[in-house]
Amino acid sequence: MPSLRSVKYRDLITALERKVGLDFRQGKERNAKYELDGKVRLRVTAPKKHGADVLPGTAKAIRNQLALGTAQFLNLVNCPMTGADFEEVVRQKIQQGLL
Amino acid sequence: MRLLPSREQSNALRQHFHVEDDDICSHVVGESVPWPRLPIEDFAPLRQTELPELLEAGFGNIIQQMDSLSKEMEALQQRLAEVEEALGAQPRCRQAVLYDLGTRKYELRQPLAVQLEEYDEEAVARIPELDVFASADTDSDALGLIKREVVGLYEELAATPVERLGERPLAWLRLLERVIQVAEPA
Repeated sequence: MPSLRSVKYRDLITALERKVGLDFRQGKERNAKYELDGKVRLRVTAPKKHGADVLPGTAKAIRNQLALGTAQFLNLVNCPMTGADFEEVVRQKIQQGLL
Repeated sequence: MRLLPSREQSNALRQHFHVEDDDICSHVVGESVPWPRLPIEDFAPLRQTELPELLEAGFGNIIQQMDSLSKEMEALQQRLAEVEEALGAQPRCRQAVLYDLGTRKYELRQPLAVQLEEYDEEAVARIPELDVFASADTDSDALGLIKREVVGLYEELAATPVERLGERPLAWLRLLERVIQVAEPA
């Protein structure tokens, strides 16, 4: 059963950069902004490299920054969720006045 | 355990070997059991055909039950491993408070609450209202690092035109403007 303990560093960075479209090189420190419709919606901190896996506390914190539930986060990292799917989740939260 | 054939089985044996009642001679303690008087080699077909059935009747159930128990044990072991993993993933949580931001540039007007989560391999300091976190080997390191994160977030938001901030980043900015002020020069 996949859990936040089994998130691979490489998979997470790939998902954040390619699907979410974050660019960690532009932000200060290791942070990147997620913008939608011309507004900043989220701010995500890149994980530190600590072996092959992302430590569970860090994974949980990044999941919160992405405004995703655990299952959604694991789907984003492990492939089923596309960039468009992620955008749809964010749009729903914008409609709810959350982002 | 019954080692000798039942009356029905004896009847079946008599029919199978075409023997009459006169040929039957065996006595067993407490029960008279008819038995065909035949050379031992004539029992070979019996061993091949009926013995496995007799054994299956006696032990088949037990074997099935053991198989079933073994599968249940395996499922329980798997579940136990999952529960242990889930418990291990649960952090030890406590609240901490920041009284400064670790810089002479800014001061805190009021203390800022931080959630500290200690995992086996890391300590994470989080401020859920600001969506910032810092991860380190120890909780004091994490607390030191999250001060930088708060300053970084504040400066980033302050430098962004308000109309470009979504609801959540705007809420972060409002909160930070309430608690942070530029320090007076000494």
